Amino acid sequence: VESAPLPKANTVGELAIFGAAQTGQLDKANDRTADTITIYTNCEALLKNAAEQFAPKPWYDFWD
Amino acid sequence: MLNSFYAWVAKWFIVLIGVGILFLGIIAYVWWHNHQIAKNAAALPKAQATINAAQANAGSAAVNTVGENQQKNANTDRTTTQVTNVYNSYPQAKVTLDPGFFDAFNRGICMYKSAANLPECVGLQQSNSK
Repeated sequence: VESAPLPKANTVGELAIFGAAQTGQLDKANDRTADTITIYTNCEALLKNAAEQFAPKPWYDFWD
Repeated sequence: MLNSFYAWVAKWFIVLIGVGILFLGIIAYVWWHNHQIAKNAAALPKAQATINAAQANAGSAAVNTVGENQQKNANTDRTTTQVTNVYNSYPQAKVTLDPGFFDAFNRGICMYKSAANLPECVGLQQSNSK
């Protein structure tokens, strides 16, 4: 995630606004990390579930 | 004489029973073995279909997550706008800073990778090289 734009003017307000915007960018970066972990975890869970469905049955399970 | 005949019959009867059991065992094993081969052969396309379905589900879950991410980004931008308005509502927000400090501030931010490609930072780098 890119930095917030630099302050537009040489004032206290612009500096403070930059700080807020930069914190917003940090939120976006953190969200992106969390989303990446969510996507990865979902994918792993779904594939694990699929693998369990076709795991070999025990030898005495004749009818399946 | 008769006793030995009965013994002979009993012996062969037991042998026949044993052979029959063995034969049935062989038939059962052959059936089971063929069934296992058929079951394994059928498992592969079933497994492929299950994996395909899982991948499709994972894909749609990922699309949902990305969609939610865009919503979260929009919420963050909305918060920044609100905060900006609050800051600008104070008269002190218009107080001017020392130009040297302001320049140092900008140059400091531009030292970070996430800011280095900002147009303002690129402009500062170009002014440095002149």
